[in-house]
Amino acid sequence: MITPLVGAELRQLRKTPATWGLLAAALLLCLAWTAMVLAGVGGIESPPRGSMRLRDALFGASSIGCLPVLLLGVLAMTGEFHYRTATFAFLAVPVRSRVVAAKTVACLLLTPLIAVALVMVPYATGVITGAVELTLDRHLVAVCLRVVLVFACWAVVGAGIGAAVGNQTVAVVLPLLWFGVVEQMSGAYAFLQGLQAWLPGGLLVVVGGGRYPGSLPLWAAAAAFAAYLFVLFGAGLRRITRMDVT
Amino acid sequence: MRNRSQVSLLALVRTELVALGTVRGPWLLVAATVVGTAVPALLHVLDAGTRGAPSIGTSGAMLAVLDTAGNGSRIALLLGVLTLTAEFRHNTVTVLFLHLPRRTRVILAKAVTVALVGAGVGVLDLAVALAVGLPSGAVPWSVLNGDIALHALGQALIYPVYALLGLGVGALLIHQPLGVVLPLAWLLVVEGLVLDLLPHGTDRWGLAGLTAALSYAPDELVLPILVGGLALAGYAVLLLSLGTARVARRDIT
Repeated sequence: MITPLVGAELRQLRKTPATWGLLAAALLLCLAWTAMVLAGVGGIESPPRGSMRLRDALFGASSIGCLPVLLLGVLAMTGEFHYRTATFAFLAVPVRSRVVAAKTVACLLLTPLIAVALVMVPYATGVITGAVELTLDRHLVAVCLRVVLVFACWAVVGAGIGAAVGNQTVAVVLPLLWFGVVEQMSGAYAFLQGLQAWLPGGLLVVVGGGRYPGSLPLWAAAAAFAAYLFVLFGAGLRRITRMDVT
Repeated sequence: MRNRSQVSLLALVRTELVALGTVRGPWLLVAATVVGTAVPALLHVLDAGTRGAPSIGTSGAMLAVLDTAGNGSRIALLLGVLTLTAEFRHNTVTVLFLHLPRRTRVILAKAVTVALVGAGVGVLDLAVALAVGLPSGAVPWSVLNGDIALHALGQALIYPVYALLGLGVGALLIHQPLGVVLPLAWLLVVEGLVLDLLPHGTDRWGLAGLTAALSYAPDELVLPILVGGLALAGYAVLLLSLGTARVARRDIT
């Protein structure tokens, strides 16, 4: 049964300061973005008070949480190797793929809580400051579901990178440089036009319901994203199942 | 026999250089800076004259290619972080400080080393950018002047300063993954958000603003090159001092 394993991983995540540190960072970043949006209300080209555009802009503040969620996935997967507890973990559960699966599922189970919190905090701030009205409608539910899906994808990417790379330092640096530098740069060159739609960050925009010029259809983006995950977890499982943990 | 605590700074720097040279990580980081310079520089040349990109022979294209020489500065920062945190990560710090009890001297040696290596990598990346720009005509000899030379020199100077900043962050945080994530997240995401909330003009004193100033960016809003360079060096010295104080008092058993 994988359930006790997932429970153990969830307990482990709950007891780790890094998890709470990342959540606090996500919340602070989200609040900073919210303050930035609210500070612009009434300015030129800023959404007017009480408008749907302002509400959407506040919901958009939750997207900053992608980075901490990604790192949460990386840390959850690489923690055992970083602190050299992998030997005990794999002695207790010799089928190593189950440990990897349990860690991934534990991250997935955490993401809805984080996503809803990061959607609600800017919205509540907007309501309290009188910038938007409180309306619990289908749009709000749709936004929450979309953010949950996107966060789940980021967490799985993080777990996949952690599994494939192993070294925690490298595993946290690689996605930061990839998503923060390489993918940002790729959109700036005409020579690479079209490539961005096939990169993981570009695919995740489409999976989250976004569109941009040259973006793939949803089914193609989902399939390409699944292929990336397949490669990451394939390489990760191969590495983890063959590694010497003595 | 010579007293161990009297080992010269030069000998310590040499030792650190040997340590950096015999580990795979720094070489991979240097390779990453070269790739991070060469590929964007080539892409600027390939893009020239298309989709609004400046054509070859214009100052826009020249600055775009030369600017790629600064791309690796973030990697130099990582090099600085890893230089100290690796000692703690691999538990070699105890042996190191038992052998050389004057910890501030060890950190000073590491600072000199990363600054030297950073400067070397900065010059290397500038050479890579020029190696792409000169043959392609994107950086024509005829338009090279004092301002352009100052801009290029500034790009190369960012590296040692960022490496020192990284060393300071590493000394303060010790924990390696945290030490590499925090400065990168600050540079890529957090600084822009935080400075946007502060009064207008504060952004000139942020890392991005000071980096632009040191690289003599053609922007009226940035600080003068000397002020920018000194302020950035000041940040590095401040972080390094705080980090050194922390490491000097830390229990390493």
